[in-house]
Amino acid sequence: MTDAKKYSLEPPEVARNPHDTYREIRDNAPVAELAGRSQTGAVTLSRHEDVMRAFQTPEVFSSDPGAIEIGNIRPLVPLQIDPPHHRKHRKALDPLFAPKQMSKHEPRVRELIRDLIDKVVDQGHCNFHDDIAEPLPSTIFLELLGLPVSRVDEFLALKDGIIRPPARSMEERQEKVKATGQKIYAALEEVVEARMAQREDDFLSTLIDAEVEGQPLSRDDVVDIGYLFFLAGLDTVSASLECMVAFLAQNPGHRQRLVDEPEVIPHAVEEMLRYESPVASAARITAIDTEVNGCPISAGTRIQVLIGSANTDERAWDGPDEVDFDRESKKHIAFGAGVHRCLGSHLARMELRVALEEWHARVPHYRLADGLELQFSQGIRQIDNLKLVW
Amino acid sequence: MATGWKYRTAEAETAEAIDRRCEPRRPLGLRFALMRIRVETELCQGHGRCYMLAPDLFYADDDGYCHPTGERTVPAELADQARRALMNCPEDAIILTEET
Repeated sequence: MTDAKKYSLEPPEVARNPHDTYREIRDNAPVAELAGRSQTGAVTLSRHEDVMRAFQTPEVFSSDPGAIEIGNIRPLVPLQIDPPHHRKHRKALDPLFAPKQMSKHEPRVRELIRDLIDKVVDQGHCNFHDDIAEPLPSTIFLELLGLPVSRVDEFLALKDGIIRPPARSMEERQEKVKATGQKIYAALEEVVEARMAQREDDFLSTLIDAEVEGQPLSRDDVVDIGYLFFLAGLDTVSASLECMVAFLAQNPGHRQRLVDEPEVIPHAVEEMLRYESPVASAARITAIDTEVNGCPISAGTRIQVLIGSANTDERAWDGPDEVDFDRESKKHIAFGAGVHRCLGSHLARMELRVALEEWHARVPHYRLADGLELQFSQGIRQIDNLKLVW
Repeated sequence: MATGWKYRTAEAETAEAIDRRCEPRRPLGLRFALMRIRVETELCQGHGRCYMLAPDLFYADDDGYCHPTGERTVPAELADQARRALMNCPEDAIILTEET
């Protein structure tokens, strides 16, 4: 393994603009342990070819819970279940998130984003994270899942307690994550209990009645699916919308194109997903001894799969550092690839498209607040201080 | 670089039209290049790029995966869509063959 301790994704300027570092890692240390306190013992894969292999060979690159510490005591379903059991759970969940189902929720998404824009449009400035990007997907998701929207602030704090806990050491981090995990289980179990007594029109009720190969899901299964949805649904679309609006605020030519030609927005969404890769990495753990690019990796090694780097690898893309809404290839893997490809991708795409359509119709000209240095979080690239003026 | 791509989700009529076109028989008397397309269902993970970019060839099934998957002839006017689907599948699940 190349000694790559000099490369790190953690400095704020790298988190903000990771592309140069991605390239250095790809060129000089494609299979390597990077610097940084979260990286100890983990091997990072950064080339498109290697990333695809990790995604497409789950028998080698397992999604076993050992791959990542996110506070759960049982595997998240279906994310941390490997084939063959993965398939039957996915079969039950895919129809819930299919494009046809998601398009039914488009009017509600549009209504909500309009309400959120109404609140800020006349004041000429906003914190896009607080005012738009966080409330929109989290409200939609809590409504879909069946968790009480009135408790949104509590749930968002729990989600952040897992994904970005304020901690000075790995030990402190693990303790906080574990404690937060218990609270998430408790919140979910309370709602699942209520739905078992009385069904509502929501995902948790659907899951309680769902059958996998003729068997109903267990109560634990429903909670374990809910835990995954909780983390995935409350965070990733917010971060994606923030990455996109931050890019557009700094690139007036691209922004103007969306204002003038809203029909380009779906393509812009795909291209910005590629370039920004808001979910920058995924976690795996090797199930057996293996070798990547001539570099041996022993069984039980944590693997960081660098999605953002694969999406900008010049070995796989022409001019990867250029953001081109007309780019012919939309082969990006911002939603991952292989059997664990993002279950909620069709919901995410619809929300991102509708949000960008409505925002640019109402606030066509906007820029970052003067002197603002954007702060991106690690892993899932949220921007807490996305202050815009117009 | 303008491509003139259109984005739409296949409506019900489109889905029926696609199904009608998907008879696996080979048209007789063709003298131009014959393009055939199929999908490796084992590889398809439901990314949805094919039915987004080739809406007259594919639509989403009830699970969000591409449909239809069986081998069929691509009408000449849809050759561009077929190549676009091939080029954009992240899993390389689309198999396109051209013969003369």
